[in-house]
Amino acid sequence: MIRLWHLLGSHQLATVLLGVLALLAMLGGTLPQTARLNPQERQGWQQEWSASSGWLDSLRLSDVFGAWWFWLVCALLLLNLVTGTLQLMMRLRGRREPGMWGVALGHGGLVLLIAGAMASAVSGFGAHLELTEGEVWSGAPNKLVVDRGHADEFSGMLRLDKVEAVVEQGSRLRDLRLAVSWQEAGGAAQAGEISSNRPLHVAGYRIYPDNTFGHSAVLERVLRDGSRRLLLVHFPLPRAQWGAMNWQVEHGRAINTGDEIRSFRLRLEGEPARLHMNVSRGAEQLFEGWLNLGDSAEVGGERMTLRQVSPWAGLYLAADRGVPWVFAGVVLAVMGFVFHLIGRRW
Amino acid sequence: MVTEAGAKVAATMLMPELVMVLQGGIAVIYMLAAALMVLWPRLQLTALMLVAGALLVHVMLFMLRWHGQGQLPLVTRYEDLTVDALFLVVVYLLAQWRRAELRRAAALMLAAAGVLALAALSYSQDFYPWSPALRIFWLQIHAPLNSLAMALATLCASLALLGGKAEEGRCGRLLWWVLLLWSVMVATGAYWAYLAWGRFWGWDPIESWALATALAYAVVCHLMLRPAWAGLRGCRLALLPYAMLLFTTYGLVLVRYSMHGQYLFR
Repeated sequence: MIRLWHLLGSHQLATVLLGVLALLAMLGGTLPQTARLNPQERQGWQQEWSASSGWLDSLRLSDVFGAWWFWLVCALLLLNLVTGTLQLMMRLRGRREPGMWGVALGHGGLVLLIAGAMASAVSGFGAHLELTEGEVWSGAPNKLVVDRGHADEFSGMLRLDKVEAVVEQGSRLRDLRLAVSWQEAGGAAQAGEISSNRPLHVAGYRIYPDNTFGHSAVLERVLRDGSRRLLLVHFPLPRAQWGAMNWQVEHGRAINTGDEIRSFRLRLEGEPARLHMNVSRGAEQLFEGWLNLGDSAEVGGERMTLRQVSPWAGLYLAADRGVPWVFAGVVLAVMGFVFHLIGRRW
Repeated sequence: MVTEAGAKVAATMLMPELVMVLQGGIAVIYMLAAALMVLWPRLQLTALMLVAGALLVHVMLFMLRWHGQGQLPLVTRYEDLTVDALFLVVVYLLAQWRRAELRRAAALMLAAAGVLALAALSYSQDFYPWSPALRIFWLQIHAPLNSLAMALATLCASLALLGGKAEEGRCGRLLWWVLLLWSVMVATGAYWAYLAWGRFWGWDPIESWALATALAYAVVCHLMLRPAWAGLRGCRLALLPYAMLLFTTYGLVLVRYSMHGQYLFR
């Protein structure tokens, strides 16, 4: 038992684990990692690396940082650090060696850092959300494009009041300012601004501007059975048109109407806003023409009306309980090691 | 929805041709001084005076660019390489001022500074306004820390190659500082990412390689605590993480897509 205790806190084990982690980090930084690829990129990678993608996948080398063995090595390093730090503190008890206490503090900081990073990997959450000016989001998960973790329930309402993009030299985004108002469950209504590098805390989430924005069109559809639906289309504004008064944006999408799939080619222009719509069903063209605000058109048995054209912006929602531990660990580690090193002559 | 900000005009930027001549001259002087330090030790003081003069011009070029564009010149490839060269020379001068015997042993730093200053000229000198994510205080800590860690790592590498047994103790102690500064550089980058994008770590190739470099330095430092690796053997082993550091800083964006490449490759 004593031998195990000494082995767990030993330099030798630390050196081996650090070496293994360095190797894994190199592999993960060099080989394509599927967790970082979108579906098209992933497909491209599988075609480009057709000979090796299979065995890289089976060994989880295409997802090194999501593999259980990567986090096992991190957990072993954490155990080694905890044990080693405790052993060092036991040796130092009652001795006046301030430099070595710095080493203990530094390693304690690393323990916090690794524990925080592991907590972040397990519980961290991030998702993209697009809102149109005036739109209210009350936590519906289908509006989120999640890129990591699982969302806790968003207990409140968030409204995007105004989008303001500040550009310079015609096509460089300097700042994106989003005026929002929100109400948390049981709380009072509040208002604030989200801007680049200045996130806002709302209902347990930090909300950042995603630095994507553009114009959106709201189309009202009256279906054959008389029911009404809203179709919201976001048109990202290309960089070249950021400073232009007469912008023109395009978007193509397929819509499943329940019994058939229709292909839409849409072009939105401003100012004043008008929408060019080209709708087809297979080879058959159902509609082609311009709609001004309030105009309607018969499209394959349903009536479509252009109700609204408004700015939209992308938001990023993040929640991560590990973050305070990680940065507290960094501060302690730096303090400890600096204290140790400045006492040494070079 | 879109408002125009007043654009800053780069009124005091020097002509690119003049920069080419001045910076090219600086690079040649650094490399010449390195050769003098190693091959003709009697001319060390002359070489030092040449380096000091070239450094003055180097600093002037940096300040003019800073003033001209109204933002610290830290992000484009030209700026990155130029600032790295500047840090190498400043650290060299401080080191030899503290210990005169380092003039020869650390001469590789001057040669490296010359190469970097010259390599910088192969990239565009155009001015690029910072994107919102770059308009953050922590970038101004993160980027210089990278240059400082790289300069100290080059000092260690130079001591390992030119210093011999006499410098092994100093090299060993400096390696811990390299590990600390590089790690703090990574941590400040993580904090910047947290403020700008809502996540402190994304396993981007540069992030992964920067972590691997820190871990590799940690391996060498821990190995050097053992008698078998203490001394020159350990210092020479540290050339491996040094190569990783160089690859992370200069090579990786050439072969792998990275978020850092969005601005470093202008």
